[in-house]
This record gives sequence, structure tokens and C-alpha cells, in this order.
Amino acid sequence: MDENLDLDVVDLDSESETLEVADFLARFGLGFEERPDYAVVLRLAGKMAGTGSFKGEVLRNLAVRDDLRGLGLTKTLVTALMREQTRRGIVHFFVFTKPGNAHMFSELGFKEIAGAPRLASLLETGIGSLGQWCRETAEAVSGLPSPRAALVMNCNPYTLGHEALIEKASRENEAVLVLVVREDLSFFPFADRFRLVEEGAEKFQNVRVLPSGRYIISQATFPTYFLKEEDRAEARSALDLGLFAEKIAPALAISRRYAGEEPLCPLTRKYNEAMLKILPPKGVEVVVTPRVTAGEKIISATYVREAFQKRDWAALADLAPKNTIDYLRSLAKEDPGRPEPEKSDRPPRRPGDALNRNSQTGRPEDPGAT
Amino acid sequence: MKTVLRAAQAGTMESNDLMVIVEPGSGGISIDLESIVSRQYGAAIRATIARVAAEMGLTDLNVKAVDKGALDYAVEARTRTALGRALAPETDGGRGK
Repeated sequence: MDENLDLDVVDLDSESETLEVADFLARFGLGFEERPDYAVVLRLAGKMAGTGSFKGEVLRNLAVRDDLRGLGLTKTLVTALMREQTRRGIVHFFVFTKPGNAHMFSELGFKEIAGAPRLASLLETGIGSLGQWCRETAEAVSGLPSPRAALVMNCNPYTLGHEALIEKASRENEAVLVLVVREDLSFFPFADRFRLVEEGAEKFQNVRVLPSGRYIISQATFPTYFLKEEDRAEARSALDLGLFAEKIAPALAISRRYAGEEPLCPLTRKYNEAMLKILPPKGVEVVVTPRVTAGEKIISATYVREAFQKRDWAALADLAPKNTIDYLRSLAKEDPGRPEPEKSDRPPRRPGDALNRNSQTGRPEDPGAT
Repeated sequence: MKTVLRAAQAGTMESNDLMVIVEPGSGGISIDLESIVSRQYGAAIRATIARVAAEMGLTDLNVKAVDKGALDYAVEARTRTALGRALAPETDGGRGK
């Protein structure tokens, strides 16, 4: 490697350093709006030659100056980023790239697992793979009959609407897989959301509740930063739903996907529309069902969160099952002094601490259900 | 019996080198290898990695290796380094270089 080549870690709190990276990326039509966990720049004889960063498992914002292509600088960047990720305990990696550049990452051991034609390819490497996840999940549900229906839900938190949807799917299918979105960018932590769904679904013999994993509605399947604004909605859904229809559904014998109508969140509505367009031609039937109502109002996790913040237990009784209400009461008891928990006093841009990051992450509020 | 304490990595993806990533496993030594010469040398590379792990007294381990044509002693050295890092007590609170 060139002796004049330096690799510097970017101080993400420094405005001048992040601005330099943002300006560099802008030349490649890439944004740098969402703060990564870690970023580096490569300098050749003091001049910026390339940059790369990561957020969680996802390598991002990778760019190398056009006149320096073919020198293996991408490899240098990727190696440095993966080393730091591993040091932080991350041993599985994703990268998005333009389909034309996918071969560069194949040479670095990455395998393509999904693609939106002409827009984006998603590749992975490291310990664990899509194939392995499919095998392990299939094994975990091997006791269930097929064909199966799938529900992908955030359940933030579990409401009577979720319960009604699970009940309907349970009635109409041999077996049902409820995939609870794993990523912790929601108001309620994954462990709690998951437990509430598991408890709620216990009464349905043919229903199994599973974590959605990294391949369904994750930072990887929803690349918010990678694509140009106008391409985003389409490519995002295409990646996530393409992966679901082509890889996950066949592996888990899923022939139907259920979703609740989405009157509130425009992103989720778009996702539902994309589901109707993308899944059926690939052999997965889509069932979108109207929301359950409580009086005049539909039941939505959004309303549950609002009522919880106001400690409006009367309203909650119409929206959420008993176990969710017990859970919310225990939270309220632990924290009686903060009736509006969304006013976090921590810095707002660290992963997991904002209360409802969905608008920021560009992911659907609750794909599939209330 | 020794246990790997954390994930660790060694090596690069430059030609004639190998990048090894290890993490604590659950039941046995699992090796996932990508190699440009896997047809000819895949079994030999796996055997070297498994031998080094055994020599270091490890039984539960996940390994990912991306090989760019490393010679056997390079495979051994990279594996040893990665495992050494994975076994080393934390000295910098996980934040230093």
C-alpha cells in the first residue's frame, strides 16, 4: 500500500470533520444525514481519497475518488471498518451498493442476497447468513403444519388490534408465524414487545411467535440513506419484500401474508401497497384486513402510546389486552415522575434512545398490523 | 477448558492473505470459509484453522474466514492472532485501539 496513505477516524462530534465527509459524499450523490456509529477517511498525500462508515452491522457511505479506482482502496476501507465492528462484537456485515458495483464486494467475500433492479443490491458476509437463518428458523417451526401464513409486526406495544389479526389468521390458516420486528428503534424494547405478543398468542394452538431477525424490516432491508429520495420508497420495499418472497417464504412454507389496513402512517401504507404489488406474483397471497375499532376510533399502537403518556387507563382498557396493560402499569409505577417519556434528556441521535424513530429511520410504523 | 471471550478478527483481504473472524460458539467448531482456492485447498485451510483452535484448547467456536490465497503458515498465524485477541482479557474497556 502507498506510504502516503493514511487512515483517519472521523470525530463525529466535530462539525468540520463531518462536513468534509458530507461534501465528499455529495460528489457521489450520497448523503451523510444520519449519524453513523463510526467513520473513517483515507487520505493520499494529505488529500481525501475515500471514506466509509458503519451503523450497526451495515457498512455505508463508502466512496473512493474516481481517479483512484482500482487501487484496492475500497478493500482497505472495508477491512478497517470490519475490524472496528468486530472489536465492538459485530461479526456479521451488510453492505448496499449500486448493482454495477456488487462485484467489488463479492471479491471481499460478500454474497448478494437481494436486489432492486437498477437501484440497489444488498450483500452480506461474516458469521451467520440468510441461508443459515432460514434453515434454523425452519427447524424451529418444523412442528407446525403448512402452508403457513405470516404476520410481520412491530407490536409497539401489543394491542387488541394485533390480537384480532392473529386470531383471524389463526382461524383461516393451518399455521401462523408471527414475526416480531427485532430492531430496537421503538418506544418499547424488543424483549418486552416480544414477550407480550408471545403471551397474547399462547391461546392460539397453531401460532408461533418468532423474532424477525436481521432479514425482515431491518436497517439492512431498509436502506434509508443509500438511495436518492425519489428512489427510496420503491427500492426499500423492493429489497425487503423481494427477500421475503424469494428466500424467506419458500424456506418457511409461507403462502400468505396478513396485514392490517393502514390509515395513519403513510410509510406503512406505502409498504402495504408494495406488498400487494410485489408478493402475489412471487407466489405469496396478501390479505389486508380492516382495522378493529373501539367505539368510533380504530385501535392503533400509536393511540396506545399516546394514552400511556397521558396515563389514561380508561382509554387503554379499550385498546390493549390485559397483559399489555399490566406491563404499562408496571412501567408507570417505576417511573411516576415522567408522564411524558418522549422528552428524553439524552442526546437524540444515538440508536435506540429516541422514542419513536420510525419517521427518522423511514421504516414503516408497524408493517402488517395496527 | 478455555472459552473465547469475545469476537475478534485478524488479517486482511489483500492477495495472499486471509481474514479470520471468530466469536464464541455453541457446540463444536463451525468454520465458514470463502476462498478463491477452496476447491483445491478448502479442506486444508479448514483443517489448519481447526487444528489451531484445538491446540489452543477451544471446543466451541464460530469462525468466518475469507481467504485470498494465503499459504498454510499465514492461515495458521492469522487464526492464532484472532484467537489470541478473542481470549485476551479486556484491557481498554473495549474502547481503545
